[in-house]
Amino acid sequence: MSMIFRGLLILVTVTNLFYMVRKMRRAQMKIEESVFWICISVVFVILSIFPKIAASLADILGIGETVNFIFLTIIFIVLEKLFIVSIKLSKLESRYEELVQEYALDRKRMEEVTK
Amino acid sequence: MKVLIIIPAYNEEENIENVVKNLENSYTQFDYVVLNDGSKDRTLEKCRENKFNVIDVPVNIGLAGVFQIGMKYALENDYDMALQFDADGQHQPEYIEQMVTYMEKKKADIVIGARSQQELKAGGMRGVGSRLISQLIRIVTGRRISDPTSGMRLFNRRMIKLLAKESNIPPEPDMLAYALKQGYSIEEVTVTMKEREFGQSYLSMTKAVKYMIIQCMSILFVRVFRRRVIE
Repeated sequence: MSMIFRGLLILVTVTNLFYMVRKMRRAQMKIEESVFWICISVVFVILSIFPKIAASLADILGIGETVNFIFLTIIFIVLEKLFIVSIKLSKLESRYEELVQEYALDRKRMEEVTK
Repeated sequence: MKVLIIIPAYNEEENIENVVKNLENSYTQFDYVVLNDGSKDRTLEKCRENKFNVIDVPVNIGLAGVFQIGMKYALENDYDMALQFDADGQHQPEYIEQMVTYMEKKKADIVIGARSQQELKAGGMRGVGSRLISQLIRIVTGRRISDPTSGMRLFNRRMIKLLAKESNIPPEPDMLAYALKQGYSIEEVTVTMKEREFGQSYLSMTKAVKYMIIQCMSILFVRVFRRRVIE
């Protein structure tokens, strides 16, 4: 791994960490969600400062190129996260529907009462 | 002192009548409001039958959500203090007067009804969790809070305004660390609590572990996760 690349990796992952933290605080993101992104960002920073960690893990798993291991892990994590977000979105849509229905019926009830 | 007792309720048909009737009969100096969080059982019906003061939340939004509804209601109706109170009969209303007096005397923003050390030690896993959180809060804020997971919390008008307005302050222990960091004052009054009479608590093992992890991270990195709230 060239020094330039390594330096760039560290710069990018650290900047990403600060950027994410700032955005989450501004957006007042719920703690449960923030924890995931902070953990991931910190892991990236650590891996870019100590590339030997990723290299060793790749070796243990018998994966030839370290970068393939990184790809595999990230894709897996992203897929899982996406899946969980799908489920959350689905729940949210159901509850939104439920709320709108209740509200509509409630307005009707008000009309009936004031007749 | 106008005090509002906020009673979040989800599927508490077995306990709700006893709890509220007790308040109505023996504690008329306090107002209360039941927040029915979209219960699937007969909690709402029981409230209506007994003509309890209840806000029916149409969709289940969880404790944090209904807690904030309680705070908004308290703010709208000019209450001086608001008390978070469980619908399952664990909290004892005998201590409310004490908590109110203590809050006035110490001019505290939050007064926690704290279980004694013996009660906490006897609590098994929950007791362990509570003590861990206690330690973390002490490390981060320097303040010793002996029962941070107690759900019996009294808030003054300043806190009512804050909690009604801000969206990311759920009634969880990490909120205490946040409040301390922001310069709010927290006091504790020793109370006793009963075991849950009927029904089941909703926390399973995995949920409990996840909850602890999130609480710990939220307390340790309270500066990171939250921005400063300007009053």
